[in-house]
Amino acid sequence: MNRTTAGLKIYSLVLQAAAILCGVALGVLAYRWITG
Amino acid sequence: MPLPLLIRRSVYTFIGLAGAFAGLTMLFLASRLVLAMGGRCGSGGTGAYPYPPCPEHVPELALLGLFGGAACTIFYAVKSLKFGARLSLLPVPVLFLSMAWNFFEFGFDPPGGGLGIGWLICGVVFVVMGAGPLFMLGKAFWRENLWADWQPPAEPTLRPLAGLTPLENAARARTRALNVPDAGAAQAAAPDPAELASALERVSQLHAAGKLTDAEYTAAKLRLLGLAPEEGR
Repeated sequence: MNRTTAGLKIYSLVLQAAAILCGVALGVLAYRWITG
Repeated sequence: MPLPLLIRRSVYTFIGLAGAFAGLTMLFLASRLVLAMGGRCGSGGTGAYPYPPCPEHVPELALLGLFGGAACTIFYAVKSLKFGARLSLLPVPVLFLSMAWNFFEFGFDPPGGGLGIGWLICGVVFVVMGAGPLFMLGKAFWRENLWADWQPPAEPTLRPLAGLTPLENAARARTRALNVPDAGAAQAAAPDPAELASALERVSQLHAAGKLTDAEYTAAKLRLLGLAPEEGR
C-alpha cells in the first residue's frame, strides 16, 4: 500500500466520522430550535 | 483523483452524511418526546383525541428528520467519495436500533410506572429489523458494500508516435486491397518503349559478356519490365 492510498483511506474515515458527529450535533440543535 | 473533484466529493460526502445523521437524531429525539408522554399524542384537525396533545412542533421535527434524512442519505449514496467507507446503508440499522433503544428505555421505565411490555416487544422487533440484516446478509456482502478501495485513475491510452495501431494497419490494408490504380496513372508511370528496349539490350550485352550472372540478368530484366516486386514498400 503506497502513501497515497493509505492517506486517502484515513482521510475518508476521518471525514465521515466528522460528518456523523457534526450531523448529530446539528440534529440536537435543530431539535432544540424547533421545539423551542 | 484530481484535487477539485476530491474537494467537491468531500463536501458532498460531508453534507450527505451529516444531513442523514441530523435527521436520525431528530427522529430519535422526537420519538423520545412522544414516548415520554405515554407513546401517543394527537392534535390538530377537527377530531377529539382520547390522548394528550402532541408536544409543539413534534410532527414537523419527525417529518423533517425522516424525509430530510432520507434525502441526504440518497444524496450521499450518489455523490459521495468513491473510495473508503461506504455508509449508504448505515442509517437503516441506526434508525431501527436507536428506536429500539428508546423502546427499551421507556419499556423498562414507562411514564406511568411498572413495565411497558408492549414497548419491550416493540424494542425486540426493532432490534431484529435493525440488526437482522447485519447478520443475514453475511460478511462478504458487508465487506463489498461498506468499503471501496481507492482505484488510481486508469492510464490514458497513448497512440504510438511512430507506426500505426493494429486497427489502423488493418484499415489501411483493406483500403490498399480495394485501391486499383486507374489506367491513366499506370500509363503515365510506364517507361518509354525505346528506352526500355535500349536498357534491355544493354543488360543482354552485359550478360553475354559475362558481367552478369544468369540470376542477375533475370532479375534486371524483370525489374526493367516492371514484373519484379518493388522494394521498400
